[in-house]
Amino acid sequence: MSKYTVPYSCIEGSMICINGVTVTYRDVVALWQINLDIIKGEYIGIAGPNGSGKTTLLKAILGLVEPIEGQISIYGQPISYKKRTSNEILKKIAYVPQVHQIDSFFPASVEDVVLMGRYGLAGLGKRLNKEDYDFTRRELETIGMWEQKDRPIGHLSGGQQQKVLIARALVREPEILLLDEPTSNLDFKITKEIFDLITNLHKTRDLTVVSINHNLKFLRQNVNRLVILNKAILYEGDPNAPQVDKIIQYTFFS
Amino acid sequence: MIYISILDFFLLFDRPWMIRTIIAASLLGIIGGIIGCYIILNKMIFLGEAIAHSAFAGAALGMLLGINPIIFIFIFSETSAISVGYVNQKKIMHEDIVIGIIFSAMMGLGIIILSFMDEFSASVSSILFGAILLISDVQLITMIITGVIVLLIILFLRKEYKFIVFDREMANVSGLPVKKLDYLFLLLLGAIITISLNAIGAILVFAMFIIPAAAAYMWTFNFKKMLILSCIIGVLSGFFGIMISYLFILPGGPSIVSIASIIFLISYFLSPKRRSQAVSPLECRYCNIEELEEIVDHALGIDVPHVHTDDHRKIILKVNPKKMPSDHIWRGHKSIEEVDKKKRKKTRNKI
Repeated sequence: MSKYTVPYSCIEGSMICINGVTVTYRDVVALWQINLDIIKGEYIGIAGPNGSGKTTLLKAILGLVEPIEGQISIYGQPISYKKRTSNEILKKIAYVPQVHQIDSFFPASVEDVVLMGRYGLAGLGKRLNKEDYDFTRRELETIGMWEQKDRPIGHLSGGQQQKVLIARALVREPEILLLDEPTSNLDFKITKEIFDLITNLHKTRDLTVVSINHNLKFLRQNVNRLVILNKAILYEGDPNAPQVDKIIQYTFFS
Repeated sequence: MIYISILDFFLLFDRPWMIRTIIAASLLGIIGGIIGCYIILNKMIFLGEAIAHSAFAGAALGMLLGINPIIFIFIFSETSAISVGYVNQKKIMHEDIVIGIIFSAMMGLGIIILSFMDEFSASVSSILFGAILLISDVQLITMIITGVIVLLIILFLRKEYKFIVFDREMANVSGLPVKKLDYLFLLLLGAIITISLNAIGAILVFAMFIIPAAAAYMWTFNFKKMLILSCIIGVLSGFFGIMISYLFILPGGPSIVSIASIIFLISYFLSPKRRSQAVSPLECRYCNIEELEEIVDHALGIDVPHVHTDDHRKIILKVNPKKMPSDHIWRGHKSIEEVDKKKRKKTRNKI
C-alpha cells in the first residue's frame, strides 16, 4: 500500500468489495484508488466519459486485469489472478460485453450462441446435457426469442443480438450480472426495452447488477445507486440526488 | 484425349502406391477440412503459410546437414507457430505483421540454405511442390498416427474452439483457458503441416486448410454441418485431384488444390448464404427524408437489417425477404414480387 492509500474496509456481508484498487496500463493510470462496496441485490449504474476506466473496473472484477495495488474480493474471497480459470467464485458472475459487429455469415444459430454460456461451466471436452438445453430454452423464452432460436446470429438486428448476449450471460445462472454498455449503438425504443428487461431480471431473480451505460437518463431512472467514474470515483450514491446534475455537468461537459 | 476403361479404373486400386496416395490425400482432406474451419473463422488465413515456409527452411537445413529433414521440419514449424502465438498474446504487434515477417524471413533463409547445396535435388522440389504419388509406407504411417491424434484432440475440444473463434473475450471471461488452447492449436497445426509437407509441398500446403473450409463456409449457417461439409470437400478434392494427376500426368499437390479451388468457385456461385445477402431494393412509401431509421424499423414491423439510400427514398434489405418467417407482415411496403413484376414490365417495354 502506498502512502496515498486511504484506509477502507467494506461493510460486513457485502457481495463485492473493491478495496483501494489501482490499475495501470504500462504508465497510464486507468483506475486510481477505487473503494466500492456492492451489496447483494443492488443495481449499480456506472457512468463516466470515454477512457475513464469503466470497462477496466469490470475487467478487474472479472479477474482479467490485475490491480497493481488493492484487492477485490467476492463473498469475502479475494480473486486470484494467476490461476483465474480455477476461481470457483467467478462462475457466479456473468458478463455482457459491448455490442460489436458479428460476421453475418458466421455459422452459429441463436441457440448455439446462448448455449456457449454453458461451455465454461461444463468443463473442457465435456458434452452439454439436457439441463444445459433446458436453461437455454428458459432464457430464450425470457427474452422472447425462443421462436427465433434457429436463425443465424448474424441475421439479427443489433438490439436482438444484444438480447441474445444477455441470454447467454443468464444461462450461467449468475448471482452477479456485469453489463458493459449494453445499449450502445441502439435506438431509443430498443434501449428502453433492454433497460426494462434488465430491471425486470434484477427484481424477479434477485440479481446483483452492475451496468455501465452512457444513457444517463435511463440509468438514473432504473438504478439503486449511481457511480460516476473518471479514473477515480467522483460521485457515489442516490442517482436522483440534487448534486448529481452538477457533477454530471462537471464530468462530462467541462 | 486420354481414354480409360472402367476396368482400368478399378485396376488402379490394385497398385499399393495408388492406395497409399489415396489414403494420404483423403486423410489430408479430412484434417485440413476440420482445422481449416477454425482457421477461417479465426481469420488467421496466412498462419498456415508462415508455418509451412518455416518448415521449408527446416527441410533445407536438414538436407544440407544430411539428417532426416522431418526432425528439422518439425522443430521449425513448431517454433514459428509458438512465436506467432507469443507475439499475439503479448499484443506486441498485430498478428498479420508477425506472420508476414516469419513467412518471408523463413523463405529467404530456406533459399540461402539451398544455395549452399551443390545441386537442386529432387527432394528439394518435393518439399516445395510435394510428391504425393511417391509417398512411402513410413511417411504414410507417420501421417496416419499424427493425423488421428490431432483430429481426436481437435474434435474433443471442438466446443471450446468454437466459442473462442466466435468470441475470444467472452470465452476467456467464462473460464476457458484460452491462452493454453491457442498454443495447443498452433502446436497441432505445426504438427499437421510437418506431416503434410511431403505430400502437398510448402507452397501449396495451406491451400488444403483454407479452400475446403472456405467452400463449406459458403453453404451453411450450422457449424457442425460446416465441419462435415469441409471434410467431404477436402476428401473429394484429394481423390479427384489424384485421379486427374494420374490420368493427365500432372503434379499431385497442385491438382488437388485446383480441384478444391473449382469446388470453391462452384460453392461461391451457388451459395445460399451469399444469395440470401443479395441486395433487394424496395420502394418505401412511408419513409420521408426527415424520418429516422428507428421509425422505419417500426413501419416495417420487422427487425431485418437494412440500410437507406442517401435520400431515404429506398430501403436496401440485407436479407432475402422470400426467406422471412411466414408470419411476417409487410406494412406499407411493396413486396419483392411486385417490384420484380415492375422491372420485368419495364424491360419488356424497352425490348
